[in-house]
Amino acid sequence: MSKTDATAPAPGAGFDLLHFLARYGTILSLVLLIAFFSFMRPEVFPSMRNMFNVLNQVSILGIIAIGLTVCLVIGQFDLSIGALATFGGYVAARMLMEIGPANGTPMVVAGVVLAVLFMAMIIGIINGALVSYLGISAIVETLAMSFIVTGVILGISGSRTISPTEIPAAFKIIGQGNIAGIPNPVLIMIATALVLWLFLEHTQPGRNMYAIGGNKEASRLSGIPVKRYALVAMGICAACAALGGMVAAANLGAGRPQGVGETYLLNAFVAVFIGASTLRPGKFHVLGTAVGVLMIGVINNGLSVMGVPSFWQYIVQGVLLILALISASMMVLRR
Amino acid sequence: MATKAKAFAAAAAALSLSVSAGAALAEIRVGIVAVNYNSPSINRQVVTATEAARERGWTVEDYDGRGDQVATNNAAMAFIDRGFDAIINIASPNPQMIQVIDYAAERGVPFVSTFSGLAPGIVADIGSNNTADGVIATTELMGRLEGRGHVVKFNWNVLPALRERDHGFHATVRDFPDLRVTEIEVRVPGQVDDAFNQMTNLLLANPDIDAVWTGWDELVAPVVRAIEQAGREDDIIVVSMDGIPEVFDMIRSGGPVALTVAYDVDRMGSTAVAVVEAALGGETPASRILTLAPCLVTQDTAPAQGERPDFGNCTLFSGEAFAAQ
Repeated sequence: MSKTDATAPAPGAGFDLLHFLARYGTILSLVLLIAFFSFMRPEVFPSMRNMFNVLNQVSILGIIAIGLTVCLVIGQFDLSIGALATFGGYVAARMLMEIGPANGTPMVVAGVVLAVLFMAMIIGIINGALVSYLGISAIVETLAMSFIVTGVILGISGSRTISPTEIPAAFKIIGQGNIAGIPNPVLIMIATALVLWLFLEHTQPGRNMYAIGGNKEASRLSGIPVKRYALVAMGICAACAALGGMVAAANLGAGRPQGVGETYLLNAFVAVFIGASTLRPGKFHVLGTAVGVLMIGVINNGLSVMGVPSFWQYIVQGVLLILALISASMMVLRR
Repeated sequence: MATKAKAFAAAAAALSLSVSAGAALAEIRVGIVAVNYNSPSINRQVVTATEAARERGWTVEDYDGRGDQVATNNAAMAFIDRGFDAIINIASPNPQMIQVIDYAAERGVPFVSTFSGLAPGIVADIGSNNTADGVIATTELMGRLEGRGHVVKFNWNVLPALRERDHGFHATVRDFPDLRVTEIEVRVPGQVDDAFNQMTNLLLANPDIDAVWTGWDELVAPVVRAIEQAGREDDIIVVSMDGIPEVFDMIRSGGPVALTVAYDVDRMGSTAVAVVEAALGGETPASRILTLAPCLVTQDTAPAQGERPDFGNCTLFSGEAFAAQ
């Protein structure tokens, strides 16, 4: 199956700046940002330690955003990812607290993590079923689901945060340990990205998802079970959100019943939409999302190590994101 | 005979007044509003206020603004329109509820708050002297740093109580010229993650950091986590204010967290109800600000796991333990 790019310049044409910016504008922006921050704080920003630090800081956002990418590939929205991230972190910590920190062996922790992923996936599948089989708006339905999940967590938690002493060390290693110097959250993000990239780009179900996102009706007529794929995509998205929440809980060693996922919800969408302006304009894809996530992380980290006051960080982050997206939207201007 | 009749009439009138007063008190309805009900210490205040009101036989309804101040104000207005006898506002900024406070005053409905700041028209705001608490925490920190070094301050100057603590910090450090301060205004929501990320970045960019001052205890865990990750737990001190169990655990374990100024949030809720009761009886406190004594919790005074400080007997001053010897 050959792929065509509608934005590609005609064969034989010279260098097309607009086309270049449309495909590589965000990557160019990312490189320029890294160069700028490295120039401003050469002793801090470009150090290997800080590079791992940047990756570590975006890892939770990355896991959630990559899951969201799958959902957006088939043309669905999921606004419950914030609540599901909180759900993942809190429920895992709560289950381990109930089992007892002393009994939290690696096998028990693995069982709890799988159980939470399974529960989150079920919630995602319910989202998918309601959206695809009943035709409910995904935005409204997933928002409603986020209310339900938030309410359940607040109800069972009594608004009490589970403290580090109540969580076994084997769980905290997920967020605080490292392998060969690479923080575990970074490894989990890379593994998630790799698995979902392979799934979307190199398997038939993944290609079917792109086909559904491109033209739902044509996909249905060509025999692709469109509704069933909504269950799969939203199940994956929910599981990734819960995984991100568990990494956040393990990282800080606390099971927080609120204020976890809300932090990542909007940034996840920002990252995925930056990604859709990268390499393949207009298409959601894992590599693009990774660029979007990195861009957010580099901006936050760079401004922070430069000692820029918080209110400037908001302003500069917004301006830089707009500039990056303008460069990537040149094709739209040309049309 | 006429004297007896007069005495009987007077007794009957007194009895009827006392019965009607008792009946009126028994039928009292109180609306409790909180802009962020599920924040742990705010939740405790709602719970204890509710319990104290129900012990008096009152009817209580509460409202969680879920971060929406406008919705919180509307809910308070609705309570007043429905004929509630009093409003208790738990930690929603009073300066942003002026319209509600005025409306309550027009209708003769007492408006009592906790940790919400001063605003004209309230019966009282029950809390702590946050400025003094900021001074206490900062003074203790200066004593440990010998008045010099590099301190990072994390705060969110939107809430009145946190602004007051900030004032206490600045008033104290003003006279220490050898002290360098880096001020971080955390992003809310997302303050826990933001504090962790910012602290991690600051530790990379500033190896000379000696101490951290956090405006409230929720930020302590992520800051400590960043310090531990950087391997600096033995040479950085953290001080804070609030008094949540998680921070008591950290102080007791002897890590970087040196102290917190702990508030008796349980008693704030019940005191708010006592003030409402007095106001309904026609008594208003002389001051619109009522402060309750906090405790200075250090490793020496940290309560046992799962317990609260003994607010009736604790002290706010570190020298008291030595003075008592």
